[in-house]
Amino acid sequence: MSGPGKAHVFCAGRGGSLRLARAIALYWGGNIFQSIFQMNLIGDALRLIGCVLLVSGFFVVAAALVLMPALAARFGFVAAGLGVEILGLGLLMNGHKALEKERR
Amino acid sequence: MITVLALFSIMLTPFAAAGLALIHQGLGRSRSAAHAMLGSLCAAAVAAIVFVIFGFSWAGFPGATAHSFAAGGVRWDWLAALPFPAGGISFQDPSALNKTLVLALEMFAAGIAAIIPLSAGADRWRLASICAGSALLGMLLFPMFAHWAWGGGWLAQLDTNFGLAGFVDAGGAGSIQVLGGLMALAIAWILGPRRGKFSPDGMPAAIPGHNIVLVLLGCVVALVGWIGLESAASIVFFNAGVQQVAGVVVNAMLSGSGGCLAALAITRARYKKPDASLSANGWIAGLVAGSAAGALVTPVAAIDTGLIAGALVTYMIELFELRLQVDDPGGAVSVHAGAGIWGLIAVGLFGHFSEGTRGGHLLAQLVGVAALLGVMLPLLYGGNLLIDRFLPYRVDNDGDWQGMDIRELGAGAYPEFVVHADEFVPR
Repeated sequence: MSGPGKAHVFCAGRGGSLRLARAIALYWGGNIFQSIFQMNLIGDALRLIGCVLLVSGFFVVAAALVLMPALAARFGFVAAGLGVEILGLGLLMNGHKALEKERR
Repeated sequence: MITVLALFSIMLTPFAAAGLALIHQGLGRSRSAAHAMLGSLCAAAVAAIVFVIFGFSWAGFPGATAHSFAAGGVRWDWLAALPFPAGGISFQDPSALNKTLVLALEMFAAGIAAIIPLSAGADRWRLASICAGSALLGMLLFPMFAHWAWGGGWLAQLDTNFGLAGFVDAGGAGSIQVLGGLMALAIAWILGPRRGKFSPDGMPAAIPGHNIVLVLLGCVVALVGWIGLESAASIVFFNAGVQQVAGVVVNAMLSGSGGCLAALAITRARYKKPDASLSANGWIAGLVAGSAAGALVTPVAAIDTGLIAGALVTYMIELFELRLQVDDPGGAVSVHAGAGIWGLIAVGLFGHFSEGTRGGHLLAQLVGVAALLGVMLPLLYGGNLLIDRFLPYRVDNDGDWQGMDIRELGAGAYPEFVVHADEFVPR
């Protein structure tokens, strides 16, 4: 995504660094502004939650290794962690599907 | 003897990269054929350079110094801590022979992992971005997982730290194939589908590969590379002897054959005629799944692993395209990630181990799969999204329509005998 599209000419010396700072602020500010208002809320929310669930699933698996001494209990927790990861993967897939639908 | 065999096997490994490159370019469109081959070469080149300079120092080898942290009463060894470049190895030092073999093998392995995502980004992934994505994979993410599985990291220490069994990835099904396949998924998401692939109501259009002969030749070339890769990894990381290496060769052929025949039979049953490109995908899926076990399974189990991988891949490709609307022209996500995950689980189900229980081995393999999905996929996706912000991955609409050869290289792959009646006429 490009910035607001304003051309800036920088010259060395007095005021140059101020203009550079202003240009950077405009560029990034413009990008963030555009990002917020062009966001596909459902698609982006699904993607974000999907990623969080992927990582959470791994922490469930790691917790099973540390906290569960018995093999059967570990199997249960590892399976649950993988289930959470698959749910996250599904949400990520659907998030992208929603984004593509909007693009079309 | 075994060192010479390891070196010879490592020297066969680039054939796997060559085979995959042929398959990717054959399954893409003719207007992007040269770009696909050059992209593969660039991906392997960038991955090799960044891996040797930075990556190997983070991948390490068993017994090397490593970064670790304590949690839950155990130390989690997550990244090697060797000096840059090349882990400080001197090629003149005779005591560093094994480390040098690991470096050589992992350098090629990083290149193969970097080539896999090109399949999902065919016809629209820019060359500069291919290099950037490959650098991310070869420098940080491949070394990280390679350290966990092969370099004495926390996955390899599941037996000593948690009383299970060490995670087994005898031929790189996790470290190379699943990692590359998950990166392919991230790339397909970031790039979006090719123009005209999906109608406004989401129905996919068939965009067939342009040269199925090259695809099938690529399967045979890849077999040679896979035999080298699996044999070398078995010797270098699991101390396999000559007899076990012979077993690796037999099992690689059997699992690939099982995958191909299963895909052929399923497509014959479903579409009345066997599908050549899906059968080729089945062949690679069989090789990928079989590479998790090497010689740790019987020949019958290798055939079973290949058969299930080949069957799985035909349905997964359909699922990704029809239901999930992921445009993956070469089927890399299904072939490498899907079949690779199945292969890792199959080791736990069918493997013959001298130590540990079947349950412990299966659990260790599931933990490895969970690490790939729960840690590596978010890192691959987030890292590539970040690069995409600064160096856009996707070519513009004109480039998509024109083809990557003309757009990025200035000349087509087949200038004398391929005519695109509509595509090359200015709109």
